[in-house]
Amino acid sequence: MNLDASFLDKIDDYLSGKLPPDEAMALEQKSAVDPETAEAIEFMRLEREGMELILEERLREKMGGWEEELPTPKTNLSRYGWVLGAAFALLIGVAVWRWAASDPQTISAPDPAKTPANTVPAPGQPDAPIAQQPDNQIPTQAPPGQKPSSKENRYLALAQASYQSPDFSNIRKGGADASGSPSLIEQAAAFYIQKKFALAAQTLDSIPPNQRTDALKIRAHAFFNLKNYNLAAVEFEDLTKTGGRYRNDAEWHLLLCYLALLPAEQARFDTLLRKIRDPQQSHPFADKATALQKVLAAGR
Amino acid sequence: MEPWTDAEIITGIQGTPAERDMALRRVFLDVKLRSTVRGLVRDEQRSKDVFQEAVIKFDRAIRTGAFESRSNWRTYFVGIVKWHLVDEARKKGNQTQELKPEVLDGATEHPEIVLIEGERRKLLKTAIARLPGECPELLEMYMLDYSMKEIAEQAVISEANAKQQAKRCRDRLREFISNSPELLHVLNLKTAKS
Repeated sequence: MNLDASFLDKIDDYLSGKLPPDEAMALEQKSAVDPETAEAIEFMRLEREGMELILEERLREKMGGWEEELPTPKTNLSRYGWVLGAAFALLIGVAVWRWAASDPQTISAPDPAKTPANTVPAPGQPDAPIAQQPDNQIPTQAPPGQKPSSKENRYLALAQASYQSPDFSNIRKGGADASGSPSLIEQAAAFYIQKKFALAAQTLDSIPPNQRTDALKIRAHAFFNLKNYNLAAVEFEDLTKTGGRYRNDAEWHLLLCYLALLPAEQARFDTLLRKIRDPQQSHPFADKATALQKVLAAGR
Repeated sequence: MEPWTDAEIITGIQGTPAERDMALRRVFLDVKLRSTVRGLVRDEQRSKDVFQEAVIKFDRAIRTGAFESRSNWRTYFVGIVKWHLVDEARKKGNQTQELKPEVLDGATEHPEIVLIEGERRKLLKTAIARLPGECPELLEMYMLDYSMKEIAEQAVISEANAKQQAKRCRDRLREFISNSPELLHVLNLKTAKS
């Protein structure tokens, strides 16, 4: 078989469609009568197929990496999640009603005007450990009228009082839907603004990859408002790693989640509080974190 | 983030390695497209596999100019998926009914041909796996029609060196194929040494 370089180049050009039509026709005519030429073409075709396979394999590898960016597929559980959610909400409702009926000292809604951020911290308070102190005093910044019945309630109340819901009315609209109907982000933001937090979170069950940060942000705050601090913490934690400009904000809200989950999340709370307060970090929420620490220390 | 236009997807795939990756990533992560494919393939895992195969075919169609912009790229992509599903069903049918009239008429592939195709790919993969480390990347760029200058820039080597290395890699691949009697047998070829 004649496989000299120029002949190979010619066949290569033929197989990649670069050979001029007259030369291609001549080559085809030759291969029709010359078995060696036909075989050489088949051989080169195989070689090109091998190289095409390399391309495929490398693309598959890349897709394997991109797969991680895909939204989590809907499971049967999440598809019928609203049924479970409704049943769960009903159960919670009954439990709260029964509890409220038996204990007149229920927790009232927090007063946003008295958040720790609005208080002046006392100087010279210790850094750590936090939230390990005995619970014999109600923090001075706790919402008025609140009489927590347990240590957990106190942390929870403080987390709620320190929390400020973001304004999602100006969220980026996104462009995933070319049909003109509102994007998932828009729909979720609308539900959130209407305080339909469960619907907001449910709408973003599949996160649009092109607006991941906004989607995570809405979901995280929706979970926080639903008082599902564990799920909110998961979303905020994700945002602390991938949230770009929103990272600092996410760290602060993650801290509030940990606060609501105290004492179980004590170690994480202390670590994150230290990080936010670290002067070297120049964290925009450092003052708020310091104020929060003072409140907790005062509650010892 | 606005969706990419047809022109952006096509020029991206045909562009530099970074542009190509960006465009293919866009295609791969396209929510709307995934949802459409998910509607065609009921099983979640199979839907993922079919989508991946379609991306590979779509990439090849863009590179080779098979996509002629008669429809938008998403419609074309869904067409690839549908053909893939038809092809799969056809091959599956062949495994159980190999003597159907359409097989005898040559309208569909005989199961033996399907097997040969699979065997050939398997043997080729073995040959590729034996190539020296830098070869897959170089041969990939060669297949993507990058100039030697572009290949040299990507591989951070001189142009002359890139040319030499690309040639050596092709020679090695050719050598593996030539020395693979099973592969040559599958194609009914004789030894192909020059």
